[in-house]
Amino acid sequence: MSSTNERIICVPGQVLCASSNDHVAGQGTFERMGYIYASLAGVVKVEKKLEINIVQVQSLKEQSTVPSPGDIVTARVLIVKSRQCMCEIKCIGDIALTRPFRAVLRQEDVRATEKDRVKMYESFAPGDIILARVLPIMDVHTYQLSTAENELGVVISHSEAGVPMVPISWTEMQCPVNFTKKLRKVAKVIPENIDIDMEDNTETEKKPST
Amino acid sequence: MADILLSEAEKTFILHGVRDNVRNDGRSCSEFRPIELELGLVENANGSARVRLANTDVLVAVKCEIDNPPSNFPDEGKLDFFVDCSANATPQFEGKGGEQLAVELAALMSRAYQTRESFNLSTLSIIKGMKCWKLCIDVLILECGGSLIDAISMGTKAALADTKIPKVSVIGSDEGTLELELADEADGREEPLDWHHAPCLVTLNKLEDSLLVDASAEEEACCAAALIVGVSPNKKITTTSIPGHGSFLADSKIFARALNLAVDVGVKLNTALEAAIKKHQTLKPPPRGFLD
Amino acid sequence: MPVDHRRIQGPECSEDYRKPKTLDAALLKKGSRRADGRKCGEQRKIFLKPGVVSQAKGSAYIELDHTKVICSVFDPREKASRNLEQQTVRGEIFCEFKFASFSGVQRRSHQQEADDKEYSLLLKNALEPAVCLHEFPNFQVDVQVLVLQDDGSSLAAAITCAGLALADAAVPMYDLPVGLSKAFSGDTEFFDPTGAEERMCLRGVDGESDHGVFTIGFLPTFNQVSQLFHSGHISSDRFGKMISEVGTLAAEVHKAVQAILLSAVKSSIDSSDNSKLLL
Repeated sequence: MSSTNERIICVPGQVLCASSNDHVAGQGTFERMGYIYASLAGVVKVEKKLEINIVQVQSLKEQSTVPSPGDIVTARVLIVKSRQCMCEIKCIGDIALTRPFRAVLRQEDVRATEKDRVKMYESFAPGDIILARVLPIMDVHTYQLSTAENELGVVISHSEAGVPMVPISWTEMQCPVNFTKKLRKVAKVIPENIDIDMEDNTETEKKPST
Repeated sequence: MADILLSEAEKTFILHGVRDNVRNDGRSCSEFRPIELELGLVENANGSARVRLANTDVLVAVKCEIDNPPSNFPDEGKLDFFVDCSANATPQFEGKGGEQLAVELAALMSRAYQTRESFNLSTLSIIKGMKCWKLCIDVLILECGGSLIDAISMGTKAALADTKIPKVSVIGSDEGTLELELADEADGREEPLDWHHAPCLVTLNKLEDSLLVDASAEEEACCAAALIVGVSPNKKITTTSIPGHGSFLADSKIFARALNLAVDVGVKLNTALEAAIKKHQTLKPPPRGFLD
Repeated sequence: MPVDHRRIQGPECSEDYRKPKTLDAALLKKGSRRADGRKCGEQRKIFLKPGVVSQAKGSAYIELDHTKVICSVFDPREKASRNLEQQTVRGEIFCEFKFASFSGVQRRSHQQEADDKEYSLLLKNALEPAVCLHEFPNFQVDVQVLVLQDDGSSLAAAITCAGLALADAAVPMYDLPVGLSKAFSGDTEFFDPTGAEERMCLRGVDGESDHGVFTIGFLPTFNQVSQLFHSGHISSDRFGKMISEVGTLAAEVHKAVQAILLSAVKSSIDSSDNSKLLL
């Protein structure tokens, strides 16, 4: 192990510390025979949460993340069919992917209630950017997504005039130029830790997350 | 190899048995399953053999061709292995599904036969630098039930034992091209090959601390790692490989134990195989075919 | 690598115009020095560098004198799985090993030849135990290895190089794998053999029964052998002894690879303003 300016740098297979009740293996590490080892090359970080030290290794490169069930992902709608729509996952959480993954959003996973009255064409349109949750993997080739939560659904959608539309209700978005209304499954974007300028609506939609 | 799905309970059952040196078919850890061998059942091949190792079934056929010798070894012949994973064995082999396995098995076989001590390629030379025999060894996998490579190596050795090469004489040369004449088959002037030093390959599957010889497909599904060792009749190792995503502890004692076990089993296998071949060649039983 | 043979106009195979060199049994010069001046147990100097291909997620280049291997690793992608139900809990390493057409004395074809395919599998089997495959279920990580010049021990070099490239690509791993190889003929043992030594030991010298070449993939931290690839003729006792001898040498190479990776991480921290990255 070597350190520059108090930083500890490690390589895969290096012992970081003994694993105990107050030291657990976090991201970029693994545990074997009572010790915590690094599985990535990078900088060691110890995060303290409720008396427990989570030992992590942060890589300098973007992590090769793959979507796992439960993750919130940002995806783009590619094809809308009557029973499902095809999407490609662009980001997982706040990590942008270098390579998109294909995913499917089925009709019954669009809304939490009145599932059988969902019409796909009235929920999404090709090119929409949506927030969705990854469902447990059933099919080998594609991920399944769900937007059955208030916070999930269409975040950015462009009107025919080519400008981002403004959400006006749970099911509608409006074009700020020619005022046409379009049906969408609109997400209630939570302004978590983003400074949102409420005056400028176009700005709010561009940043669903940090 | 052919993957089968086992539940945790089934795996535990196999594991507990192996700890007590009893396997689910009643064998001990270093015992082989019953082996059936039949020679010469492919009429159009120069030599052939079929090996049935419980549920594993392979057919090996040798065909001879006349070829040009390799430029760096002008007084040697060629040995070509080709493995065909037939979709009959398992639907996974359909299309290109068996290709990777086939490449792996063929490569292992040719590595095991690479040394001159295993098989002397110079016996295949016809005219130095001009003509040689090329033996095409085609392996067809009819059924896979574990320990494929073991069965293939036995089948190959038996098929080579069954192979007879016609005698060739040069009857004249015409502006650099040679005219060869094959001796009539009826003359009986065919020469057997020197197959006695050919190796047998033994797969050792590691389950906890035990090493299993000739694992069945179910046992293979439980094992974390495997070591394939090619053993010649004179107790030498001709090839090794660790297939799959397993690894072995690099402890010299463990390795020595594994290698010694492989050599022991391999030598026994070679002797048994040789005896069976001899018996077959003297008795010449009528062909039984596949349905028996 | 182009595979479509209809698009490549080059000759299918060719032969070197030079006379094939006769195998030289006297590769050992007097004073038990090898043709290149090394001792029998001495390794060639290793040049190893990560991050050489900008387009790849991770890459590395290794040079053992005249053996030159480049390796790049790409982001995981969905498995091109043929067997749908199979192995969904584990990821997979997909290796493509290729000797460049100009890598050896004999020109090679553009397509993967039989030994390219064989080496791809051997490399895959050597790397997979080192990688946390369960972290990317149903995905495969592509590892492309190109041997630019082959002067022996290319598989061993490829294992070390691919291990570093995987670490460079931030693929989670249990350990950095290292590859080592040894050739032997009679009583003479050549550690880290050159091409000529490899060829001689694969054939064996007349009158000597023992001969062969073997390559080991090691994971030194957990003292595991991930690949043991041997071709030749040798007794089990001697083979076992040689394996454990090489094992002790693996630790040294492992240290060197670790040091290289460490300094690469350090310099990338120093060079860029990573303070925001490391928050």
